[in-house]
Amino acid sequence: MAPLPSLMEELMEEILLRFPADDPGSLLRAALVCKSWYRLVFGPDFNHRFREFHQRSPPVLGFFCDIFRSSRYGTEAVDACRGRILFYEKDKKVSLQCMALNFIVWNPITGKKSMSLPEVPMKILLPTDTWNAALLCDDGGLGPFRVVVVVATVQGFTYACVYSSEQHVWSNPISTQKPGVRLLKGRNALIGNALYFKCNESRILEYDMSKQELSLISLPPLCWNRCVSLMTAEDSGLGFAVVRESKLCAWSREVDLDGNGRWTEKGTFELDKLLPFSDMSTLRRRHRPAAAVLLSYLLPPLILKTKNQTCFRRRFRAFPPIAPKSDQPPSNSPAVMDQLDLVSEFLLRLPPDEPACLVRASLVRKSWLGILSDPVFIRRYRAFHRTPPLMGLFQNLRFEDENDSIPRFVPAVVPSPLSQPELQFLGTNKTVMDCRHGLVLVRLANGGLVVWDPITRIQHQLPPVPEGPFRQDYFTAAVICARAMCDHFDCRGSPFRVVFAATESTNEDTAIWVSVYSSHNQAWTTSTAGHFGPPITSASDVMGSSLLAGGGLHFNLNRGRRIVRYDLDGDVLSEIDPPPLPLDNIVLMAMEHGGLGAAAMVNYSVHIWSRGDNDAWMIHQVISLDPLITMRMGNPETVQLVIGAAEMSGYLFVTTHNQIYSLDLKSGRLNKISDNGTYLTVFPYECFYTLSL
Amino acid sequence: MAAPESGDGNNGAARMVTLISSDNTRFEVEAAAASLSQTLQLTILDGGGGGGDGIPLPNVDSATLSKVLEYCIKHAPAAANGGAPNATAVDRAELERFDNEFVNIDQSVLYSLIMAAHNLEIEGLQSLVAKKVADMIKGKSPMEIRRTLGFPDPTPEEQAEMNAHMLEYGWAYE
Repeated sequence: MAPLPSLMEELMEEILLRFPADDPGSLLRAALVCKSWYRLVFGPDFNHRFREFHQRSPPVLGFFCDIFRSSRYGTEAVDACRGRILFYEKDKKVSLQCMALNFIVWNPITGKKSMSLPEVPMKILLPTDTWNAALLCDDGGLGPFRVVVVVATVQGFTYACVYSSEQHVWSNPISTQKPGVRLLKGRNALIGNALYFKCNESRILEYDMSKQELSLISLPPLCWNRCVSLMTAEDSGLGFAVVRESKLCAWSREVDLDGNGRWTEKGTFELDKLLPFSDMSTLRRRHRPAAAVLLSYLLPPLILKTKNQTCFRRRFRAFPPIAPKSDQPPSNSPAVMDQLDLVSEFLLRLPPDEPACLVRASLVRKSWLGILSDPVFIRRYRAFHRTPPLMGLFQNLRFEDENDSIPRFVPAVVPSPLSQPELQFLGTNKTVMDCRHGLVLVRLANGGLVVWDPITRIQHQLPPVPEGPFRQDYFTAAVICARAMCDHFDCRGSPFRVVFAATESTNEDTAIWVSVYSSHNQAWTTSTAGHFGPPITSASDVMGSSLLAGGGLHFNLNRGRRIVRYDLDGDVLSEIDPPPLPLDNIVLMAMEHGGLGAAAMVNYSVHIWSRGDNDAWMIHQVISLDPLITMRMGNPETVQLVIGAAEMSGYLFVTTHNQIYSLDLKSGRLNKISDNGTYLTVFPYECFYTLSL
Repeated sequence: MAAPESGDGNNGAARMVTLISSDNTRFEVEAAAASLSQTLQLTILDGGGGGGDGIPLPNVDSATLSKVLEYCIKHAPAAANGGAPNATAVDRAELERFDNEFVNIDQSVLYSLIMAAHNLEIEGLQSLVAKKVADMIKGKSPMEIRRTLGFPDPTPEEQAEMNAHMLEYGWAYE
């Protein structure tokens, strides 16, 4: 072959410029062909020209993806731009009081890692505040860059501030009041000089960097409550993609001269042609959101590829292979496993206090998933096990320097379907008031009550509690399933009642009134009231949390000096004298026979009293804890208290040395639930977790 | 015919019945033990299985049947007492220990037992073996369960669905 004439060098450069950008190896291989090509490729201008030539569509070399809840510490990829990645450094010190936003910018090609960015100059951020961030680079990932952080606080303010790598400082944050906004995770979109971030309630937060304005945009109603992925539309405006049924739909937003935006659907892709699911239409309903999640990661390459009319390639691999090969050679599948009535007997016996095993078993075979999500099976499962397992405990943490309280959840099952992040919506300055029959009663900062199902995440906002005949100096509230003849092991979706009880204390006496909300009528009725004995003497914990036993709700009054009973059927308030237990630590509990009991710590032992049919208290059981917990008796630090009782699963909760233990009354066994506890009242959450709800 | 009143096993205490396995082995057992099987109970109440007749069980081989009968003989006294409300704690603990040992067996034997307990409708044994399988399932990943139970490895399509599912239920795989 004749050598290339030197005249061809210019032409050669043009050829090399056209090498595919998404196959970087090809250029390197070409450079090794001869010295003149090497000089061209590694020449001073080539890099710049190559980037410029391919500027319109830099190749996708891969993408970063955070494996779900992989770790509580470490780094999290937040954004990527022009070859650089923005990482969020998770806080090493877990703190409930504040959250620090620390970022790192990294160029994986040059390996250059920017110094950690200085801390974002926001006021104290709470872990319940939400944020997102964007990385902006102007040229090929080598020049200066900017980082934009937006934060939505639970107090209802939205902030934005910008870091510039040239000045090495954050700008002063701008803020607007936008109550109820929570920023969601996920990629932002940069359109012109505005950044767009996904928010809760199917909204988008727009940060206009030239006007320095923050505003909210609603998604079209068709796409509410769906997982969307923001992107640049074909016409260079704001767009997003969403999965509906088996279609991927692309929407774009046109803004008219008056600044009014209008969404239009621009096109659809049949997903079964794109995704490796054999038949998208038969894909179970529950898998669809998962497909949408998949897509939110996949969309950038997907859009690039569809534009070029090339086939979409699946690059997603979030999870490593599920398990290492076992040494045991697999035997043949036994015929027993083909008999579904037998298999359902096996699955019926999976333990409710290990909810993950139901989820994992549903993946073993399609037929197993069918059984586990069948409502008939689920009813049988709950009826078979009867007692709902203890999923965990709620506690209201209070900060000493402020009046705020933050609810926290301590899981009692591992792994737990519920975790602290699920409580984000609760935010700060909210209080868990009660947990019963799978529902959680939350009091908001403004006094409003919300009934919340943490598994289905359905919230029910109650109208304000009406004025009662007396003042509300002190109050407590309870939530109860209201279905007639309910055994309470399968109450999901049932109507419920909320009982609100308040106390007015004067110098002469104590007056109590009760108001009841029914989800059926969606209204409060002030039902009963009465005067109860001498005035309140204690300053705190005047009305304790509620306990359901024997058809009545019971509250500790005046730190256990009296017990108030509200009869649910008769709508009658009455007063019960407490058993002779030390004051300030009496916890009411349900006895096995359904009657009322009370427990307290006396000399390092749990004393349990039971109220008999003749309304007399009898000592029922004394459980000595010293063989169970190592402690130094007499040490003033060894404070032991009973802090709660689970109504259905038969546990008492005890705290000592800042640790929370559950005491199983049936077996007498003591289990540590949390290393990091307080003496505050616990609200046990008892509920079945099943696949369908 | 001296059929015993239903629910009262005493009348048949000394009475023996013969069961014939699929491979023609004859087992002679007390009627009370065999009556733990709902399937056999009716036949026995009708006076069947006595003398030289025997009750043929074409679905159960002799190895499995001997294992089933081991269970029935052990549990017959407690069952005759109507579930054992007046059994002592020692007796209950002994039965529990027996049950635990009893299912500590090879997987193929377990599967034969499941089928036999199902066909013969022996409630206690059905429950015991089902619990054993549940214990084999819990605490394992889907892949480990498949391997334990001898299911073939998933196809790439199934694997993709599994991945999607795992994304959705990420908490269960922590």
